[in-house]
Amino acid sequence: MRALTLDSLVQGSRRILVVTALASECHFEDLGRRRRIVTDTRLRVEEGLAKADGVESELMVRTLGGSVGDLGERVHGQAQLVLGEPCVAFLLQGPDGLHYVNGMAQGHYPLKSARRLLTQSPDLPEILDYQTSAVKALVGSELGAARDRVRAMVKP
Amino acid sequence: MMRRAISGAVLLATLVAAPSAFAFCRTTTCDPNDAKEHCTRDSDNCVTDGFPLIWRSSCVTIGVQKMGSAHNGFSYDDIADVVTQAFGTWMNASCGSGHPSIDVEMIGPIECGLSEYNGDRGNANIVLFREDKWPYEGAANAIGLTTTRFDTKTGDLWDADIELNGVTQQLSIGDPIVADDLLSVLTHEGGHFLGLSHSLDPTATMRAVYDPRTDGDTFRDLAPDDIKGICAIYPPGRQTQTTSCENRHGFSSECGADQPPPDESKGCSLNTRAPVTSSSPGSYAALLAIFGAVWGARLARRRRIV
Repeated sequence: MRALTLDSLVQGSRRILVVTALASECHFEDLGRRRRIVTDTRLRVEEGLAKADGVESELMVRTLGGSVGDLGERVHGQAQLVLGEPCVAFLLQGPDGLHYVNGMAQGHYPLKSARRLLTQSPDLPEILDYQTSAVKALVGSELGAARDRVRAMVKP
Repeated sequence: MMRRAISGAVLLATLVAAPSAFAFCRTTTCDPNDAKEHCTRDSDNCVTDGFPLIWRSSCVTIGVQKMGSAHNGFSYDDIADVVTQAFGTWMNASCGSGHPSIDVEMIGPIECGLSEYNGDRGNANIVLFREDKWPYEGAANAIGLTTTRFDTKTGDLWDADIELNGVTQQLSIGDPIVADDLLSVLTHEGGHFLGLSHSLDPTATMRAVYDPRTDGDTFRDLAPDDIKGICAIYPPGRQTQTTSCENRHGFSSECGADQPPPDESKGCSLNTRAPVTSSSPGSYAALLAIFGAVWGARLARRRRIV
């Protein structure tokens, strides 16, 4: 996966939020002319970092893969939204009205420790041009510093 | 292709002399992407719940979609050669007492241009370029996506496809590396195909971070961590359930929608689970002859990677 710079991640995202996963559900969906398994995760919005005007208190995010019955389907490099774990999420809104994590795991930063440090998404895909990536720019930052950086990049 | 000689002694010396702080991870049935599964991870960031994914047979096939990539200027043969090389790297790994106990065989050109798994008809494991539309929201900058399908109760791999983004991404084959290197990408994705997840080992081909400007062609080869991983999944001498290369529900080059429905099959498709509808000895002989001819043609098209 080609690295997204922080600027491209910010400019390309519809919402930039701190969210916590509340529940998830897997099902088949027609995608790319084929039935594929997707996971819809309901998120609680904790805080709007940027582009949060009019955001509701909860929203749904779709990721690829999941399990339905005996069939499991795994797509490597997805954002992994862990139940109850807060994270910073850079989200797109698809034509179907659902939200998607921008850049897959590149748009997902779990918050750890009391200092609320942004950490790398667990299944970060193979990233080309890491040195210029948003991942390099954000991982290890405290939430407050990340918030300031992101907001400074948002174009009016 | 000759097996690359990496002696067990050299490998052992390497592992002892330079122990890695991290270890490879196997993909498991526990889906960390599904919040309700509560998958736990160890200090290596590996998911520890669920069954590890594995091809139970000693043989699995992979095919390349016949159209190649017009966007990148790659023919079917160009891509098939790189796929052969990428999987050959995994198959040639030295596990000390032998090589990984799985053969990946290249099967002929595949008609189907979609990633899919058919629960009631033939399947194929495919490397394909998506050239009309990259259908995955939020993944426009993905170069490749590997999808594995498996039995959630056992971890048995049923199907795997590697989709390459031929819409927005530019790849190159061979030297010098002038764009993103297809061989590097396919070697990494091949690890997912075989059951590995990302590794935190900074030298591993299965690591998440790669920069062709600084890392050069290091993704074309395996690091000791990758070798440990493939040898752990497929140790030499592994007792396999079968040596058949057959796909689940039989092989088919066609997409599911283009295959005859299972109850309408006349036994002449490559779906070997098609029902035999006649009971006369003459019909059995004729069916066996047809089956033998089809099977022979398939074997002739297969190319062993090791």
